[in-house]
Amino acid sequence: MHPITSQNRREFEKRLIAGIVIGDKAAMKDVYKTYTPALNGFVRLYLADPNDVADIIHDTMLEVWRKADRFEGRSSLKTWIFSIAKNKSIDRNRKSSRIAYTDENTDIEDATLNAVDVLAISQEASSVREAVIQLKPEHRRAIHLSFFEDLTYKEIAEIEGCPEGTIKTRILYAKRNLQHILQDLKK
Amino acid sequence: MTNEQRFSLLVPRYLRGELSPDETSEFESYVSENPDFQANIEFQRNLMAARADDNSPADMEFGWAKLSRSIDALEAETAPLQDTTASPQSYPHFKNMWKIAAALLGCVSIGQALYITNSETPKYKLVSEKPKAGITLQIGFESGLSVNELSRFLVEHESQIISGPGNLGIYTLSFSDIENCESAINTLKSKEQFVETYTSCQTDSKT
Repeated sequence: MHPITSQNRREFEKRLIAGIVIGDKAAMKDVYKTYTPALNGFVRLYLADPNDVADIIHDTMLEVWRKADRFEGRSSLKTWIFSIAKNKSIDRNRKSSRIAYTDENTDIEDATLNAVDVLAISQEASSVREAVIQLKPEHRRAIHLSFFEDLTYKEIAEIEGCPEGTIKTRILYAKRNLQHILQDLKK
Repeated sequence: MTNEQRFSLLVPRYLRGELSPDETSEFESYVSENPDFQANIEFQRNLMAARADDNSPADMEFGWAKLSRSIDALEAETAPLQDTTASPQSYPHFKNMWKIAAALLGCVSIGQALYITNSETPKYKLVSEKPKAGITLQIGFESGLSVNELSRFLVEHESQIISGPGNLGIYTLSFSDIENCESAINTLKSKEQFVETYTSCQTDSKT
């Protein structure tokens, strides 16, 4: 069960951060339990090794503890935590020389989509997740953050460090590519 | 951007119920006119439903236990910088208190600097400072003169010792005006047991 609703999210975040700033470990535990499941899915978009993912989550949360007094509330707590995790994940990739540089060009396939087939297979959650894995990294993150984490385009742009328009474009093309991948899976 | 693209981008917000009434009305109007678009909405609804929760409770507990230990270690490292009677977790408080203390100290320093700068006359006298009138008298006191008697003499005649004793045991006293100096000489004349010798009042032309 997700304890945060859209109405009280900011108040909930303020209370947690205030608790952490005064050194309340119970508040930190609430943050950890609330955001770790989402963070796990997010960091896995960057890192394949489960041990690396666990390390990044740990380091990210430790940084939240250390720097909670610097959180100004201009973005949501989730966006802030994801931004920290993103930077740490990229650093980890750099150190292990596993970073994959990709451009913004999208390889939209021209094959005709069969809407019925795509819709049918998209009802299988496991197929959707399998298809998402096959997307380009930036498309995968855009789909994940938008559809799995319910973040707004603005929030995704803050995490990704790019204009909101870029995120909109990525999602459009990512969704199109996803439909093609799903259609191929149906075959 | 085509209409389809524009409305396609609105689908997540529509499915989360975040569109305004006007946006919702426009969106549903477009959907009703474009049956194919309904499939798009369903596709996105399926995407949102495919979210995976890969964290088992056991993973979470293990992760938290490790994080908790790291936090304790981190706080132990910073503890020597704090009041030893405080809890290690009160570290952020102390940072704020130090900031406040530094700010107060800064204000006091600035205030003091302004006070000294703006004062027309100093509130203290330098040892080397010479009297304004420049009226002096040299006196050789008897060795039996007590400190109390000398202090009373100086106060009574508004005088101060500005140098001495020299090689001959002579002190130089200054006076605020000639009247006090002459009055002092009269006192010396009446109490010759206190003095060996003295000069007449002298005016220093340099001052």
